[in-house]
Amino acid sequence: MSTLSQLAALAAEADTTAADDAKNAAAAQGAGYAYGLAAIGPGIGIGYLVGQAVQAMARQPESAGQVQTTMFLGIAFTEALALIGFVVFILLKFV
Amino acid sequence: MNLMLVLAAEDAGDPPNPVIPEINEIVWAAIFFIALWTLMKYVLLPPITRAMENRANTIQGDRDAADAATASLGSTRRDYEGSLADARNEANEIIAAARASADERRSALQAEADAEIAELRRSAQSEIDQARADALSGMSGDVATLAVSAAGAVLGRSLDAGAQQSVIDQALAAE
Amino acid sequence: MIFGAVEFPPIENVIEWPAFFFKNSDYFAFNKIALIYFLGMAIPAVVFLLANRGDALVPRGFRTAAEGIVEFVDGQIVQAAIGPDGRKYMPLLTSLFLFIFIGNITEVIPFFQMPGNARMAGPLVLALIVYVTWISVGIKHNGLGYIKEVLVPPGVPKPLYVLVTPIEFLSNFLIRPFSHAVRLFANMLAGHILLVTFSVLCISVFSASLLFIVEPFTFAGLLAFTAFEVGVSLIQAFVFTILTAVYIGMALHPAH
Repeated sequence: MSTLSQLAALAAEADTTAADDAKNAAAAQGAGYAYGLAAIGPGIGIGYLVGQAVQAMARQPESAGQVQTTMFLGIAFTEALALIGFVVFILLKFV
Repeated sequence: MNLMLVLAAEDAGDPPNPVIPEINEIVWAAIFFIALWTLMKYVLLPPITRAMENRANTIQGDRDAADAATASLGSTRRDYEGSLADARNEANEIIAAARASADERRSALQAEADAEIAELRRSAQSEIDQARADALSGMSGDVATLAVSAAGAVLGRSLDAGAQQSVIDQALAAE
Repeated sequence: MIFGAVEFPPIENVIEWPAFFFKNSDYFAFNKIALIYFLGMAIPAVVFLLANRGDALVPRGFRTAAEGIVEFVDGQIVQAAIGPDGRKYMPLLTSLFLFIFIGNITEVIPFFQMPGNARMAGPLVLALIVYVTWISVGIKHNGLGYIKEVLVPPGVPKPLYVLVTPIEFLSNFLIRPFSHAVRLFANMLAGHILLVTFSVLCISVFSASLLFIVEPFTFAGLLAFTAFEVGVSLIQAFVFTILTAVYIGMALHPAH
């Protein structure tokens, strides 16, 4: 193998590593944005939901059990959005 | 992220996607969960729910029995209190009767004693009267004789005893 | 190196496990995840079998535990989400609750330290079983009209059905099983990655000479998140089960 072709192979390898690095960096950045943005809405939503549930329980302590069950259901539905954001994060970061 | 692409990449030997399930884990999860569900349905859960229902029924039965016992306790207590009141009344009656007979007896004894005392007093009084009368009659004779003799001695002469006697008698009577 | 280096291990080292039995089989390779699913079946089975022996009138030991579980599922899940006619779904709901709870709690148990439900397989199987169950319950109790009732809900102005029917189809028949599975899977995977991150941080800080002073804080964080994950395990098992009960209840009484 000639020195020239060896050099050419090395250069090509360096190019692919650089491209991979750039791609990984972009993916990591995208993953961070994806999860960060996905967490905003559910964060606000769960805060509002739990606050209202606590208010309801404080006003009518006798219905606390019912309110609590419904609150967990609401949290589960709201949280799903954040979790889908998390899955997107995993897909972008690790795949 | 295309699923087919991901699957193709996995076939090519790249690091597996953490989100795509592995077929062997799906198989084991399905086997074990369906086994648990079947066991739960036919073996594990029925005895426990039956036992819990039995216990609930037993507790309900015991509670009913306790309610009945409480009700009968009320009637027994009423009976007991009734008989207690009867006994108390009877005792009161007995005490009252005893007190009455004792009073009666005491008053009878008292009357008897009073009568006896009165009798004694009366006899003593009559004795005293008798003695006084005796003493008076005895004393009048002696006093007359003494006075006549004393007067005779003073006058120096023998007075007519008979005439003086009548004068002394008059004086005594006037006294 | 003064500050050390935080090297997060490749994700497959954190969640993929080598098989111990049937290593060459594609379909039956038995790894740690399969062992966790096996325990998810075996532990409830043993507890309930031990609970079922002996005198039943005065509960003690295993019987108290089993009755506590049954009472919890009955009171908090069946009666709250379905009503008195939900008793016949008790076996499914009790199995789901226990299977998922054991699959989750292995996240904080030493030597496992891997939630079985952080692999998509378990949640996917369970969500599909629940999907099939609620659709068949709906069809059994309301006839084939149930599907029409879900897709074409009564009391909507006619032109709006162009919008409503695709949305209902998507939300009920596609997104619902998907989000049901992903909710459990993503929660457990997130918790697992959180714990791995804190463990890696603790080890990196421990071997870094200067940063060793923050070790107490990272370790306290690890302990706090471990305790937090115990609660998450319980709540996710509860949420998965009560969502199942809600879907079955909606299939039983579609009017409300």
